[in-house]
Amino acid sequence: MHGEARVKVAQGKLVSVKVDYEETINSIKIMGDFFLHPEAAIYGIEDALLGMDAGSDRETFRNAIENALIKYGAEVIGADAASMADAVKKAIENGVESNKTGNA
Amino acid sequence: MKMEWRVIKLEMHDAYQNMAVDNALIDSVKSGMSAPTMRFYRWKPSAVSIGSFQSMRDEVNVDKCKELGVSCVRRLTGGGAVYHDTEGEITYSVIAPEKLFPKNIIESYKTICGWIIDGLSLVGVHAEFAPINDVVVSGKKVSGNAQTRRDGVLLQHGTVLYKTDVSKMFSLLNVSKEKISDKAIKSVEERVAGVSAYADIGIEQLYESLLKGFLAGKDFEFDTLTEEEASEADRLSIDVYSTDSWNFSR
Repeated sequence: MHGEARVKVAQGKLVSVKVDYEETINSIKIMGDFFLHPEAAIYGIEDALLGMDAGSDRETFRNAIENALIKYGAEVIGADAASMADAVKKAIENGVESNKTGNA
Repeated sequence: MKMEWRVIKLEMHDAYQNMAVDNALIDSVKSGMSAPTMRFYRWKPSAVSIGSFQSMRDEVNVDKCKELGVSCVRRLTGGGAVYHDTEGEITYSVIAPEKLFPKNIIESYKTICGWIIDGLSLVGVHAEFAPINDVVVSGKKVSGNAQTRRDGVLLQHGTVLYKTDVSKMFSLLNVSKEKISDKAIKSVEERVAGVSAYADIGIEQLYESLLKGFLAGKDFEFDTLTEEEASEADRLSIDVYSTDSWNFSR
């Protein structure tokens, strides 16, 4: 399954997610025009989400993202763990069979 | 004792070199080999830069850019996609130990954007800081800025628009068909403006006024990149910023 979602953060920036999953998340990219210091923490956030149960609720995704931010001493400007989790959840809810979108 | 700034006067480079120089300066300021530095530059050829976390293909009409000879580059900072017209803007970078600036990110944006505001006031343009990272005149954005901090060094770079070409911008950036409508273009024109809309000045005068705004109250010396910085910037331009593996990594 492949899903995508874009979430505009109130008073903030845009968070966009592309995710491939079956029962668990197989690959995920978190994108957008937010700021994240240090930038390399984005890989830590994505790694933290890999392998998670795709049916997890927003709170579970938010905790995983927040823990990654703490682990990397990272700060997000214009978005936050909750809005990223929201985008992840929506992307999964928007998921369709991968072969219907052309995305592997 | 006041910190002395190194100031690199306005230069013109391609997109890859512009980003590579900023990156090289972070490293040299971090190592203590170089003084806090501010530089001013333009982009030739014109270019689109995207934020560190954006997808090039999602945000940019890459084929149109190729057709028009517009370069595409991923910045090392976050933020959004920006069209850098050779004749349409002045870009600056400030690279300095972060201890020289407020720890709070928004406050540090405000500090450096304050220098832009001071410069614009010299040509009679009353501008204001608009958090998170913009400078506005009468509610219209005239400057977008992006900051990162690495190993104790702050980099903030930003553009000050001299004139805008919203139609061209729309042709280069991927926006939904609805947004390309005349109404949407008008909407952007209502939200974005170049300084030339508010002051009868040339782009050179804009640069001179910004320079004064940035330098007010500071000890400084005009200088150039060191040989090591120039060499490292050349390497980063070739090995990182001009590569598809960097620019299309998302």
